[in-house]
Amino acid sequence: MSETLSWVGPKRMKIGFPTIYNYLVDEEKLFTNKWNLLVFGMVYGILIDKKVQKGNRTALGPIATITDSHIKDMFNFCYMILNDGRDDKEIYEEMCEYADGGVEALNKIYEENGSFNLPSLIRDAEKMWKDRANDLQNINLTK
Amino acid sequence: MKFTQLEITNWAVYRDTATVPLDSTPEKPIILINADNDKGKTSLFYSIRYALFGERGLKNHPKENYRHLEEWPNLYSAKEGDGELCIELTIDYDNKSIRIQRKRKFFQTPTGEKIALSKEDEVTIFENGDPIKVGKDAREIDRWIQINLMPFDASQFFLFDGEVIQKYTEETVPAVESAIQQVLGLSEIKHAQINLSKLLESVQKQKVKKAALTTKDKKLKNDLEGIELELKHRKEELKNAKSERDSAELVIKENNKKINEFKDLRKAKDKQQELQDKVKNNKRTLDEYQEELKEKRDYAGLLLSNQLLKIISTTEETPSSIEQWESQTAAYLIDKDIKLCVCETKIDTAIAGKLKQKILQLKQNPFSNLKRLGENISASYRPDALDVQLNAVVNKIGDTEDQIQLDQEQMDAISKEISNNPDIGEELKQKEKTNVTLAAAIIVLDSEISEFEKKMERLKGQEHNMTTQIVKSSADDDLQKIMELEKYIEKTIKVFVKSFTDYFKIEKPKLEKTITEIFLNLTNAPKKYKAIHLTDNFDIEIERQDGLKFPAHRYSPSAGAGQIAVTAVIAGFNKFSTRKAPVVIDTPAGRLDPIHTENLLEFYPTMSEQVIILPQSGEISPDDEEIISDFIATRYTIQPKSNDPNQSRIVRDES
Repeated sequence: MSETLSWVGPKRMKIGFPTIYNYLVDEEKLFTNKWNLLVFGMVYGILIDKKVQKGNRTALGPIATITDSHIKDMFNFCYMILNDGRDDKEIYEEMCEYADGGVEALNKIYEENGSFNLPSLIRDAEKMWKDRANDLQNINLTK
Repeated sequence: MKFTQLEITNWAVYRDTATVPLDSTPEKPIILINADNDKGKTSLFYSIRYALFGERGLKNHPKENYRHLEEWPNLYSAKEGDGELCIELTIDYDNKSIRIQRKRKFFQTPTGEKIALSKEDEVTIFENGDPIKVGKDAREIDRWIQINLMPFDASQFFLFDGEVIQKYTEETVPAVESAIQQVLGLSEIKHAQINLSKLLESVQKQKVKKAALTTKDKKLKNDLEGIELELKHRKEELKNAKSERDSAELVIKENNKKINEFKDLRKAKDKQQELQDKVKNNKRTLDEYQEELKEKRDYAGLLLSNQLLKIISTTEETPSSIEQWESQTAAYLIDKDIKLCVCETKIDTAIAGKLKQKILQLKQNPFSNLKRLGENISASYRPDALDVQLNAVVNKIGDTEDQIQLDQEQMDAISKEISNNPDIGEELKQKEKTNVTLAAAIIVLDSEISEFEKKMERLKGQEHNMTTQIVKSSADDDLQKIMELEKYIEKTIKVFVKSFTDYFKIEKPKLEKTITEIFLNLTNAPKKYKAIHLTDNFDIEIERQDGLKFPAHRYSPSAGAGQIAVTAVIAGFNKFSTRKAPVVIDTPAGRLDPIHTENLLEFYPTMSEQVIILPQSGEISPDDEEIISDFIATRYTIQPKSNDPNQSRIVRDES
């Protein structure tokens, strides 16, 4: 069951690299839609701690209108990881930065190898999360 | 007989003279000449064949262009100017040192073009250092070499390429029959038989002529002359019929060759079509898999986060009640050495306000929410199962892509192969029709030939009766002598025919026994096979343990297995040969598996009194070389020259 995106409000999700989205989703058809790439990029960005700050981002659409429970869950997931008591607007901004960072990194992998080696990315994630979870001070796993 | 030295000049990669002493003894019969690819190993092998047989010696080279001498002069020498290639092979033979010196002039030719050569080889034979005259030209000298040193056809059993010899298991090579007769010493008997038949014919002609002259019976004389004339006429008819039959057979053979080539082409095209369909289907499957992968990729974020969810799920749940919070906060304060704030694990009311704030802050910690969300996600999407599915799709894609690539490569190879062979389509039907017509014509011709032969037999019988009648009534001494000579020749021919047949009857089983013993020693599956037989056409036939006999090509789907069967046959002939000659083997273990290689190496020292082996690097491992090390008299390595990588030198390994 997906959580209601209570923190969202009227926010629109914005992306910094629309050309990459066009390339990977529309041309290469690696994902069924741009939202799927966005959440993948966001998790990957958080995982590898890569953020990209961009002044002018293109709006992808209002987050509140997302109906796909899988995408909603992933938004909530990222929000909760990043939520350390700050203002929602700041967290939302950081989510956009991580999404851009992750998508840019994935695009680089794709350009270099001609594919995402997804199974190996997933395998590597386990070790990366172990290290990364400690950096995300909000997730108190040290009990 | 053994080779004692080889000297090569301006031959392939050997521009400067390379001298190779070929020292061996009966105890240490092996000379090992190692080389990497493209360094001149096969060139050295073919220099020996050229020295003995001239350009003809190159004819069994696996590559068409190297069967011609113009490919062999050193390219750099030819580029710089006119020159001469020269091979000298010294042989210990019959306690004499025989040296064959074979030279051919070549003319300056820019690299890349066919090198122009002088008309024929200059061949000189030296005996103990002095030139001897054994013939007036190169052809006669070659004949002398074949009679005295090694017959050409038989050479395929002494000087051979390990990778090439397996062809004998695939087809009957016409020269093999003659080669076998040569090595077994039967060709001499066969030649004598042919010569005697010619003599008999000439004697019989003389007899009839003399009889006709001697007789006074005019009628008899006329009849005899009439028969003679008819015989001549029939002979001409027979000759024509036979020639017509031979021509028809030749056309059928040529047509069959084309038809088979075409059928192979058709098969290749069918195979290509089959592969095309397979690739097409696999590409479709691949598209489906790619679509499936795309769906799995949509869950990529989920899969990446799954690892974190696993970590979270192993972490203790955040306390839910205020008391638990207080207790935990107290523990926290103790842990941080803030002892003043603690009273029997119950928090002092004085700091309750501050703590309340802290608890509220802790409550906002999304850990429990995240954990709950994680549990929901795991229950809804089962990321572990998704991970397995993703891996399965990726593997299926990898396998399908590999298969497509393999099939594509095979298709490309077939395309290359068939691009040189035009599809003859309609022409093929015509050729098949022609063959049917010709086959029918041959049947008619055969019956005609048989009729002619019968008629001729009858005429000869009549002629014989008439001549006998004349001889009986004649006192002519010459005629009597001719008759005696005729009888004597007839008897001798019978003896030769009988000895030829008897030889096979007696010796063939012995030969087959020897070949079988060697084969069972060499094969890696001795329990599977019982014997090797030679058919009357000298095809190699393998008998299995269950008694089933079948042609060697059915036994040997692999080139390696074929090589083993043929090596056994060659070795068997060597042992039976009346001619003792060195064995030179290029690429001895090229396609053999390790067990076959070991077996073969164990066998080589016994194959002849001198065995020259030319393996390429890595073909014989150091462990395998150990098998023959006690039998190696000399080791050489062929290396590129340090100052010119396009030239090679042959270095004696002193270790």
